[in-house]
Amino acid sequence: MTTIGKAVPETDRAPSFPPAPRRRSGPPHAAGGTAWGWIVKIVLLGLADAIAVTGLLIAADAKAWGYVTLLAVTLVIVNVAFLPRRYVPLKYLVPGVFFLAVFALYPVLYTAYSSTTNYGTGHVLTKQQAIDQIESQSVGRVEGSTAYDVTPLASPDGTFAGFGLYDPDTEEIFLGTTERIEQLTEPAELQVLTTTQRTFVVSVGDLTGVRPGGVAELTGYPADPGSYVMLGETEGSEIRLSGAQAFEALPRLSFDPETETVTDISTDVVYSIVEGQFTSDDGQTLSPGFRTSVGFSNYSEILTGSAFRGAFPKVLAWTIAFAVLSVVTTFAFGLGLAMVLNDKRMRGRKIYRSLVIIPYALPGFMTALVWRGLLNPTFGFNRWLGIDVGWLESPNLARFSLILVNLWLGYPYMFLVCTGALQSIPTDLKEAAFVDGATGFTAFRKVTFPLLLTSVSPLLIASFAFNFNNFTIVWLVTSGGPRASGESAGATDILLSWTYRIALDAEPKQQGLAAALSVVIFMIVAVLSAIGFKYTKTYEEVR
Amino acid sequence: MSAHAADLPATSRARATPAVAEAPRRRRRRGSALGSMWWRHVIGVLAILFALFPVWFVLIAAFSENGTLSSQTLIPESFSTKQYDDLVANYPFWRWFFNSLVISLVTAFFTVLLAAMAAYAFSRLRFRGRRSGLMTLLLIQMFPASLAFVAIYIMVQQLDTTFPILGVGSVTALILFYLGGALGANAWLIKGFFDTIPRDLDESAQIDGATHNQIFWQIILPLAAPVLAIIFLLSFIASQAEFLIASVIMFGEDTSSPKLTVAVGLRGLLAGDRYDLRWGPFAVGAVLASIPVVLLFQFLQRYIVSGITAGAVKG
Repeated sequence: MTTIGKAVPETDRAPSFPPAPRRRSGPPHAAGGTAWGWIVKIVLLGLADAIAVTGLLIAADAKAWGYVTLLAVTLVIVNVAFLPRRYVPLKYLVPGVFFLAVFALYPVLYTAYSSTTNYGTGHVLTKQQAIDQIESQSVGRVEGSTAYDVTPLASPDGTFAGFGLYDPDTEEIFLGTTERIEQLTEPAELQVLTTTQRTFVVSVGDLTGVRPGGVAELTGYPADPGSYVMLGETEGSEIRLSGAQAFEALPRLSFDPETETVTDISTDVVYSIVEGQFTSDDGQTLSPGFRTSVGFSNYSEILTGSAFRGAFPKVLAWTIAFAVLSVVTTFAFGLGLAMVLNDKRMRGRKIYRSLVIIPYALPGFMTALVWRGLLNPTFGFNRWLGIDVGWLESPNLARFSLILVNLWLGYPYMFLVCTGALQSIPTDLKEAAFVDGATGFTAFRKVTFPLLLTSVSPLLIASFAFNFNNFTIVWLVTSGGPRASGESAGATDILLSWTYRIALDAEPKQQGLAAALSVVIFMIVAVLSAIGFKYTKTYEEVR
Repeated sequence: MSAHAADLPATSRARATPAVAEAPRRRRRRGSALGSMWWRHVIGVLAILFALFPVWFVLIAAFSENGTLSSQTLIPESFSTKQYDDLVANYPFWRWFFNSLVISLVTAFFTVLLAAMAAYAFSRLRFRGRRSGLMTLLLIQMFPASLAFVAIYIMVQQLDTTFPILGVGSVTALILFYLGGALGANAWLIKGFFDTIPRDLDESAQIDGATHNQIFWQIILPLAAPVLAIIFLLSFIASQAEFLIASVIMFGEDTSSPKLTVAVGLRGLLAGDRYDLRWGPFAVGAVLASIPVVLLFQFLQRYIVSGITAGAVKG
């Protein structure tokens, strides 16, 4: 690293930029550049503030307090960093650190939090949302209640006034709205529709009836009349629409906040909360469930649960095997090819080189999908070679195929690395070995290879770490299969692809469990990185 | 790992390589060069066949008359644009292409900007927590963002109701999550390059009255253009090919939804059991989708070769 000319005290401010008045005698562009820079700064800061404040208001409106806090803190930090002249390092660090904190670190923390919940299919809503849904879904017609004929009514100014409810037995008309129900005693003009035999209210007082075809132009008409709840005549009762009729309806299920239970009024069955689901004594459950904390049960599920106990060590073993084999095969193939093509006397070396690295120049997701087609049991390879091999059907062949595909994708990288490393090994070393009587192979084994290994070992470790979580290849080539029905992990599933299946590609989806598995992967990666760090001694190079 | 890159500016390395290659050409040994060379050519040709046959396979399919996997032949029998017509008739392919292009360009631009700013602070300014900040970056970079995909999924599902702009299928959300990884390795690489730019330059500019802003934008950034270009291209290529986060954010979108990226869209073409029926359209899409990356790779090639040995890893 370049040495710093003068001793610099470690303070928050960059001492090299004293807030002295700026001299006008700088470079010709200095004055203009500064003014321009100031305008840009103010515009950008204003824009950022505007976005943050808008977001803050939306989040506050939605009562998403986590996001409110986040945005408020951001707002303060950004303005503190950019408005005053001081805090120069902050001006350069805050933008990048903001994205790092919000879109990289926060998801990690949120993963850890989610791993202690039961988030997943049927457990997406909050408890209150779930209770509301359970109650509103249980609303049914009260037995023996009046069936009203319904007519949407318009006020004289053409807006929606409520529904006219006509009781055919008593010939009374009521006006039902979300706020009240009142009997309309003004003279009414009625018409019995020939098609449905229902009574249509043509007009009552100054209100006029609206035909079904006319409701689209009626201002204020509810978008979903089925969920339009009118207050009933007795306390707590509701009147709901059902087609062209309306009934008095009551929720069959009701939640009692004191006992935290839901009671079925018609049968007196009590449902109490069991793991985020209202469950009766005989095991009946109410849908939907809600998300709730389940402590560490996701972790114990992974390590001891019946579906995962056997799977976890197997998947872990294959993940490590896949990463190791990928590194070894690509390195061996790349090194071999680099040595073959590294002879100065060979003609057309450059053409060979630029052609063999073609797999590296193509986007990996695309070639992985192409390989999926090549390995198709009925077509691809088999058709070309006239053979019948289930490349992706049996567990071991699928594993072999996956390693083969990853070899194809990965060897050009190792080829480039090794070519560079071979060329940087001083030729006198090899010549000295030859002078001492070493054969070509011995010289390679004792001189070239050890030197090569020292320079590329950090890259081999990086490659191992990369393949350890190489989701794209696994998912696009084999999708983790083949997988026996009823098993949660397939034969070629690595930890990350297994996690993906549990979270998003299985029924039921168990995001809470998948989050716990992600945390386990985090820990494994941390241990592996620590070993890698120790090995490459990267720590010592931090300056 | 990235720390190694700090020692070696990519350009000087790239220039060094041809010089090494030139030098030993003199000491050509006596004897028949051809005699000991033939086996190298055999291996070279075999390696080229291995490297190229999947490419050959997809090219034939892309321009064939008949679009199913079962009708695929080894030698092209016809040349037609039928598969292309089929692709654009049934899928909003160019929308996907455009989405991916926008995502990659915006991500690459801001990645370079954010990483260069942080690198400038770490390289040129002295402040409390500088060393630990660098260490933290190094540690964070060990954990790829994809490991937190469950949280990203839940966040996007919840944002869908409060902030629909950042909800399911949002290009903006995808870019933001990509930018979460903008620092890390990139800031390290750029800092390494900045460290090699002599400090005398900014000190003399400072004496002339330049502000830190002017030094950053007008002195350091132009001088670091090569390394910034590399980071831009690597970041562009990485976001073109990224699949996991994109598929998590697009989760639940239809396979022919115009919101998808090219990677997620093409994967959708091969989803399901009878994907061989959509093989032809897929092949055209794959060939077209590869073009931006292949073109960029040509510019990058010489830098990648030296950058790799210096520790950069292409995603």
